[in-house]
Amino acid sequence: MKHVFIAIGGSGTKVAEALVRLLAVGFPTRRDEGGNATSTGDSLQIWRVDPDRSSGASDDLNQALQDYRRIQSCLSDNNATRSLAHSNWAMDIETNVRHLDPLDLPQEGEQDNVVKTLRGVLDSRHNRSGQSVTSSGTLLAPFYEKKDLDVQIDRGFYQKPFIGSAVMSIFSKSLEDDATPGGRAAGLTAFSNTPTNFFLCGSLHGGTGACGVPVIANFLKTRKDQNTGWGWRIGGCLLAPYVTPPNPPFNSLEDGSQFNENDVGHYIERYGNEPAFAGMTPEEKQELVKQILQGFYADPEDMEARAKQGLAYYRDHSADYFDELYLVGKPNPNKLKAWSNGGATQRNPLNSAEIVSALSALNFYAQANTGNQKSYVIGSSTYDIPADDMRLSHLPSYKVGGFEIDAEKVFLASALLQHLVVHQIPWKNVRASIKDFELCRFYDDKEARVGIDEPSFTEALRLIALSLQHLIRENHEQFPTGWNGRDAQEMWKYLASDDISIKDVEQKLAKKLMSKEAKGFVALGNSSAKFTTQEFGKWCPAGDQFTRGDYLRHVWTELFNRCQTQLGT
Amino acid sequence: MRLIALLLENDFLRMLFAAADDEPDTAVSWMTTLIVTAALAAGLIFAFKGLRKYLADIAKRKIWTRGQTWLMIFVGLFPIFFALLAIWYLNRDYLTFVQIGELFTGTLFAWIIYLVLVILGHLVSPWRRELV
Repeated sequence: MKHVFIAIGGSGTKVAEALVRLLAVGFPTRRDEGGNATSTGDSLQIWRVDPDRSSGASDDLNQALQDYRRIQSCLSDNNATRSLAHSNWAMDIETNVRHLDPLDLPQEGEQDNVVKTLRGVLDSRHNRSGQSVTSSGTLLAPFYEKKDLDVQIDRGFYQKPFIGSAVMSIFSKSLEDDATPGGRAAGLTAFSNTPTNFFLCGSLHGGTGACGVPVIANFLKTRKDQNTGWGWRIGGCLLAPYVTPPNPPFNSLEDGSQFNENDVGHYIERYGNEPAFAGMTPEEKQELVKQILQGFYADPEDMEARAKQGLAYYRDHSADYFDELYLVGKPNPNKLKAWSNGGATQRNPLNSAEIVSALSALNFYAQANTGNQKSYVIGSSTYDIPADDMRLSHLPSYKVGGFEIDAEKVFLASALLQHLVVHQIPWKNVRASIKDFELCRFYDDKEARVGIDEPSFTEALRLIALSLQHLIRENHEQFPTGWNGRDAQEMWKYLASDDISIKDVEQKLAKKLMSKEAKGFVALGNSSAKFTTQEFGKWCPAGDQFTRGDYLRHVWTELFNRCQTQLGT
Repeated sequence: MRLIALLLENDFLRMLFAAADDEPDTAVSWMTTLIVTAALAAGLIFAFKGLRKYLADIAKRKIWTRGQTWLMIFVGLFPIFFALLAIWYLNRDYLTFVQIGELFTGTLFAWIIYLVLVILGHLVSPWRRELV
């Protein structure tokens, strides 16, 4: 099945990163011919709709995709140069994100839509030498203030959807034509007559997400309705406030107050060394000071109200665009410490709400159909769960072909996979191990492959372990993630390479004397598994034509099937 | 016994017991002791290895490297020497008729028998990949 994840704005991009990391660690979306849960056979494209091309979230997503490509190449043919990350471990992902810049609009003339302001887009042909086009100014005046029309919007729409929606509408219209920059990037023609799951994700209260999700969904819905036989499905996830930014270094001026260049210089002199201005050129600092003075930044006080307005808008106008619509948020949002107004300086670790949103995408891709046509809620956390104290067991489960996928069990299986393949296979003595390890039997007549396979497995599993750690990084005052640290600590025991940790795990996987039963059990949160390394040695795909990806998926499935929820928890 | 007696007719093997003509019974008995001790040692070594493998709590600990296997074989040489030394010292006939030098050549002979048995045993068993 073909899937498209459309990340709109910074929050959508973070969810895309979470989705890539979840797929990297083995989360499934379908069942294969043997009935095993997997994501292989599916493919994913990521579209990113955001005027902020150089955002920190975009850098994080690209890093996640690079890691994914490396994992897939290690588990297939070690060709890391291909943009399509393919192996039999996880689904194919097109690792070149399709950047759909809403400011990259079609141009009739060279100067069209060059200035990245609302006026630059909506009134771009006015006042140009040799042109006699009437200004749109009189038409725009009732809707926008001068400052709204002239603020630079190449870093986003600063939580002001009314600025972004005008640009987004023009942009979505341009997607219909493959000759426009947006149409070229999306390449929608390739999806004609192809069953595809489109999943849109953005914030409910932000600027780019709030205006982009309904506009793009409307565009897709229209095309879907015109071509009912294509088999398109449209899903969406709206992120209500789950983190609140701090106040900017200084307050905005009151409405109607004026300022001049001297004032701007004064602010730069006083605040220019604050972290929010780090790495900026003098011109960028000037622009940021102006934005703050005019109130073009994410105001934490307004977020909840804007989210409510957004929800009301969906209720009245947009909910019908979607086959499935999920809402994720936190009653008590985490508080960010560092202030940023977009750009590469805005680097935040993955938040638990973003993981939940990514799980909603997996639920949609797995065609699990949550609720009925009139219901659309997956809770991220409830009042019973502190926003900065989530456990893996709090994550929603989803179904793949009727088979429940519990996130905590996936984490446990993937962490154990790393330990078993790296530390329990006698890689240095494969010849002597064919009786106890089926994989070593596979190498019996192709011993040269051990030299390729061992480092490939080790590297792929190192990156899988890295993704596991990225996903549930412990909550930190400076970088709130929403996670209680216990799961990360418990998981680390299985990922660690020091002798004490390895022996500790081996103790649990060791068989009892004169028995085939394991001495202990391995656990993560409420999930546990009981098996011996002797059993592990027998897990191997049938035949002698399997790839490294096949082997890992086979072992992962065996592990996942052994994971159980502990009684009494 | 006939086989051992035949062996003792061999010039080389007579080095193991120079007084074979005068004390044929003691010679046969000494020869038997050497072979049985070597065979027992080989059997014990196999039993030890098998038991270690059976009792291994972790699968990879069942796997012996080539170095471990040769080390075990080497270690098996010592009990043979000490066993023969003890038997030689405790048996009045052996103490009387088997010279010190013959004790050492006898030990060497037992070691050869032991090595042949252990190596052959590995080669015909599933453990051969742990040896070669």
